Amino acid sequence: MKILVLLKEVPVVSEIRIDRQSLTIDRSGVGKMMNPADRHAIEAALALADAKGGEVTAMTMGQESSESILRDAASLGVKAAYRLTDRLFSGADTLTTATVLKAAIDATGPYDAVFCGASTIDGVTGQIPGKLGTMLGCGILTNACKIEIGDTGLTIDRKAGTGYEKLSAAFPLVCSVTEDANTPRKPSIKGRTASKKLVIEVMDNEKLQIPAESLKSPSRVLGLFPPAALEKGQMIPSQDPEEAVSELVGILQGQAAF
Amino acid sequence: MSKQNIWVFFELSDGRPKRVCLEMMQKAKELAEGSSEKAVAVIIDPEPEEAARAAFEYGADQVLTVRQKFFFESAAYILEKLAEKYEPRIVMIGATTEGRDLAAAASVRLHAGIASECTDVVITGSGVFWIRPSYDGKLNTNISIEEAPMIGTFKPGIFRLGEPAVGRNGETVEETVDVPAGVLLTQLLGFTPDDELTKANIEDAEIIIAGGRGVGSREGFDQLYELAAALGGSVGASRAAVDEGWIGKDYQIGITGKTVAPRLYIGFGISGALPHVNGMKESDIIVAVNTDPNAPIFSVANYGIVADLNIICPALTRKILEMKG
Ligand SMILES: Cc1cc2nc3c(=O)[nH]c(=O)nc-3n(C[C@H](O)[C@H](O)[C@H](O)COP(=O)(O)OP(=O)(O)OC[C@H]3O[C@@H](n4cnc5c(N)ncnc54)[C@H](O)[C@@H]3O)c2cc1C
Ligand SMILES: Nc1ncnc2c1ncn2[C@@H]1O[C@H](COP(=O)(O)O)[C@@H](O)[C@H]1O
Repeated sequence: MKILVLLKEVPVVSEIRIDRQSLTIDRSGVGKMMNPADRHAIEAALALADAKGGEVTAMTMGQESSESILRDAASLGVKAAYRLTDRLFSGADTLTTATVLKAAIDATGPYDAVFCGASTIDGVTGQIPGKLGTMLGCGILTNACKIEIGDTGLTIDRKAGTGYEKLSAAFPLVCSVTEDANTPRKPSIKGRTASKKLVIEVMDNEKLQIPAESLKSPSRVLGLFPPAALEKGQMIPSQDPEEAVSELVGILQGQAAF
Repeated sequence: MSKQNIWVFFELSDGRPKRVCLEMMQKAKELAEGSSEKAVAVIIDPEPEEAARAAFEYGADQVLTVRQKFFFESAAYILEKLAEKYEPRIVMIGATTEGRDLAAAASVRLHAGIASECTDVVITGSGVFWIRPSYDGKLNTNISIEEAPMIGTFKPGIFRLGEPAVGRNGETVEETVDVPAGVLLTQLLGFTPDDELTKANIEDAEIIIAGGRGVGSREGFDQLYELAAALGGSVGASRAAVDEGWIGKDYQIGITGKTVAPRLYIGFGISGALPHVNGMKESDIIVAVNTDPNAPIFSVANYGIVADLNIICPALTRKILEMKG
């Protein structure tokens, strides 16, 4: 089997400092890491390769710094890696990102299964797996919290409101994985060596030949602004807790809150 | 401007529309009135009648129905065909489990730019601006999509649900769309209700008792469960309480958890950090109990009590049980 895992490098969001007055965003010294869910996507990909035989390839669209997450993946058992980068890809929204990933999949595939993280922590919310699956014209299993490997495809469980949904699709498919799905393995000694030796193939648009037309992102970030200040409400005196509770209950009853 | 009208995709559960659809419907009506367009509900279900009635009562000028079972793959195909025929400007979709899948697939099929998990949308003249929180809610991002159609998704609880206009009616148009077999590549095999997930389904709760780091321990949450039981509500939590391991991740309220808008939210020992507040500020009535008079939660709360939650919470439970006799 030929299996692909998609990885994204994200900033450590909590380290970003923001001045709400000047709207300046201080990214200096902010660390970068592999998107947390993607570790679980790697594990799912390796588990499928373990069960069915075959190799796992990793791919990311990102800056040069993101090669470190590809090496991380190699230390776990990923055998090949691609990094997609081009000036034309900068400012890509989810539609354009999926277009680029699709082109690279066509150029290096076909793959029997493509694993992604369920969502990224730097703002985008799980759009890539569904978009990519639609572009590839294959089955789409999103937000897996449990994955069963079958003879001809995968079956997943996912959380949906008051219970679990079970979905299945035949290979080829795209599957996005949540942190509930598995426990990622640790790098092996052999893996660490392989990671150092990993040859990362860099692909630009010279290689991918995506028409400029298709790289035009339909959505654009215009700017940032601070959220509106909230209104201050009424404080209930609390010298006597019993009295405070009575007053609160009176108010809430008056408003038919329960 | 050729493309016109604001569509709301209706997702049904047991024939009834999910609340998020009604919330979006009211918003669509407001937007449509401002720009002299039509607010349209799109319902894909074998029995769309009840949902169509609700759509009109919550502001639809027109309802488009397709009598078919809803699944994201077929629905995205149907939306594509309907959009080719009717050319909408905006399609609003609820950010539910299936709604997210649908939005992603529809965005590709309609070649529509998408703004996901927005907290607002503003129309000025021909411009449409999508607002979504970024940087943990510390800042809002303003996104513009220039070409129609465009898609925006909204989590449940982003817009406050107002009263329906009972008896309001409009035009229903029934469409038929044949979905080719090749479109359906994913199968939904079934749904298994789960007690734990039902308890954690706080997005649909009318009353939420939320606890934060101030609750102090897993045992500390027991008093919150007791109050929730007395009020017939659910328990939620801040991320701090979840990270401490006092309660599961499915109970987390906030930007990286669930967005809730219950009739009543009572927060105990929650400081009111923006990532949390962004997930609950549309609640009808917000009550906060915190020992720190300067806690930011008091600037969101309608009613605040500066006191120890370990005194107030049990006292409140006793009072309510007393009243219920
Ligand atoms: C990327 C990112 C995403 C995040 N997403 C979320 C999210 O989705 N949801 C979320 O909630 N947070 C989120 N956070 C975390 C958020 O910034 C805050 O750290 C968190 O909300 C704080 O939780 P808290 O109010 O319970 O704890 P604290 O801020 O520690 O506040 C505890 C409060 O309890 C009060 N207290 C203590 N003892 C008592 C007592 N006996 N009685 C009454 N009051 C008492 C204290 O005065 C204090 O105000 C996120 C952060 C990041 C960086
Ligand atoms: N630039 C990218 N390069 C490779 N994979 C990506 C990229 N962006 C997103 N993905 C994949 O898609 C998943 C979901 O991302 P998102 O839809 O952006 O929340 C991520 O966890 C990755 O697996």
